Amino acid sequence: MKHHGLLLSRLTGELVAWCLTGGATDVDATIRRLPKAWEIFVSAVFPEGSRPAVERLSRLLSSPRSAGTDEYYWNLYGSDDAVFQLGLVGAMTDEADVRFDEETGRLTIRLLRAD
Amino acid sequence: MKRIAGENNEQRIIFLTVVSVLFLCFGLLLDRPSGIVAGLWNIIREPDYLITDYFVIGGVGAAFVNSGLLMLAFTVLLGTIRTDVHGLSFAAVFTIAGFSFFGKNIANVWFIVAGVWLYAQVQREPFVKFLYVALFGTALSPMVSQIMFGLKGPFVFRLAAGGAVGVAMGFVLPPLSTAMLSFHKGYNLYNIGFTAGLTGTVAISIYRSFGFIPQSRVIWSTGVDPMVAGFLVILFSGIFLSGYGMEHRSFRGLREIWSLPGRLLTDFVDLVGVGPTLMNMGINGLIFLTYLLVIGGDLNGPTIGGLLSIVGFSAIGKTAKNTLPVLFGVILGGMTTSWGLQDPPVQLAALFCTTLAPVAGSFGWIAGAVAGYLHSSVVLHVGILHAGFNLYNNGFAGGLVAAFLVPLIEAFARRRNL
Repeated sequence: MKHHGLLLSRLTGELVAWCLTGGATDVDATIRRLPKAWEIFVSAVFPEGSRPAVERLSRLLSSPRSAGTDEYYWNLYGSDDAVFQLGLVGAMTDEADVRFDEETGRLTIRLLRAD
Repeated sequence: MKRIAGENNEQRIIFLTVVSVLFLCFGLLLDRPSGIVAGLWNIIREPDYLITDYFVIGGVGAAFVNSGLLMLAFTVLLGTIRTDVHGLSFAAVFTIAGFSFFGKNIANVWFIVAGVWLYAQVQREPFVKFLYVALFGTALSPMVSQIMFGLKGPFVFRLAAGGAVGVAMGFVLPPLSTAMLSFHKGYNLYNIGFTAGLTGTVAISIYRSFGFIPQSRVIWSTGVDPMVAGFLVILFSGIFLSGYGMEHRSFRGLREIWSLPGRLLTDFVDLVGVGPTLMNMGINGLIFLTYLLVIGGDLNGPTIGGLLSIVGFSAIGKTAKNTLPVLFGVILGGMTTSWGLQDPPVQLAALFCTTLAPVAGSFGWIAGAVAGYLHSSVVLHVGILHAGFNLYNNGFAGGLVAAFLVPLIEAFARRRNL
């Protein structure tokens, strides 16, 4: 894909914006090159009562990879902070792992996007 | 924790195939084979710009056969390139089926697809990545027919010129369609309609510079054929019942779909599942068919096209909850302005205004109604820009309304909860 770097940064940005809009503090994002994939790692601390939002996030990120969406819809990331494109993040990644520690409020999201 | 892509893929292909075959059989039931062939030939030869009702041009039987054939051809394409079938695929195939009643035919769509394919080759990317742009991009097919059959000159020249223009249109669509998304931020579901409107406007301006003055026209059959109405009731009910059966007679998934705002891209099949999506598709088809019948509207090629587009996009964004406020806005427009709900363009606007469903889904029913009200006026006046050569004129108007309205709403509205 021609705009792959932009896609990765916007995809990560979408998650970071979602965290910040949800009241998260101490947000951290890493994008790392693996042998046959890109790994996106986002970590954030959420206020109390965030579990429903995290469950919703988890459900949306579980959307299966859809090859026909990359080239067409990637430009939607970052266009709006009222309704996020979490389902689309799911559709453009091959693996998603969401963990939430309710005691500390720490959310970790790990996404893999295969080449 | 990821859902598996392509799960139940065969089942989804079978669903699309069954609907295509139903269309074919119903068409063949309505007319003799010789009548169908003659009708199809008339459909192919007709310049197809808005509004050209294939019920008038080729007959009801040929129109259904044309739609069934195209639906089947694109379903075979989905199966052949071995792509996973998503809600987006349902939307694309149903939209093609719908517009095959008033503008797309078995001859004129392929040049656009070829143009997108060529773009993929030049970019050295697999065609599947641009598949949906190709499928939705067939909105510009009338431009091919217009040059091939609407202009004067040797047929070979017209054939080559029409084909070349179609390929060129398809070639420019992928980068444009992606760029246009940021204009309306995904609040206009018919994004290719907006892109095609812009492309058509540029192309028609060039046409006009060479002295070609396109005539506006409305070829529109009136009334309601009880057999066609009955077929659609059975079709939409069947789609709903298939989903209801798959969900073991539960509405839980449907409630989940209704909780989603529907902004592009919200793929109900991927997010919630096939069963609830089919239920949603069937319900929306029945609601808008009822609306048409209640206002005394016509059940013809264009309105059936509108209904099928609603049913298709009910797999990626449209629900009863977010479409009805927009429809209410259009009805309000009919009560306060100079046009009536039974005027042909307004009947179409009432169906295709649902392109703005995400506005209601994201910001509430008042915002949705305002969007519908604005749309009902805008759509009646932008068609002149592309002279009806963009079949998705409502997508063009919807993009303008969304781009105008959404930033204003966002500036003052309360944010939606995560």
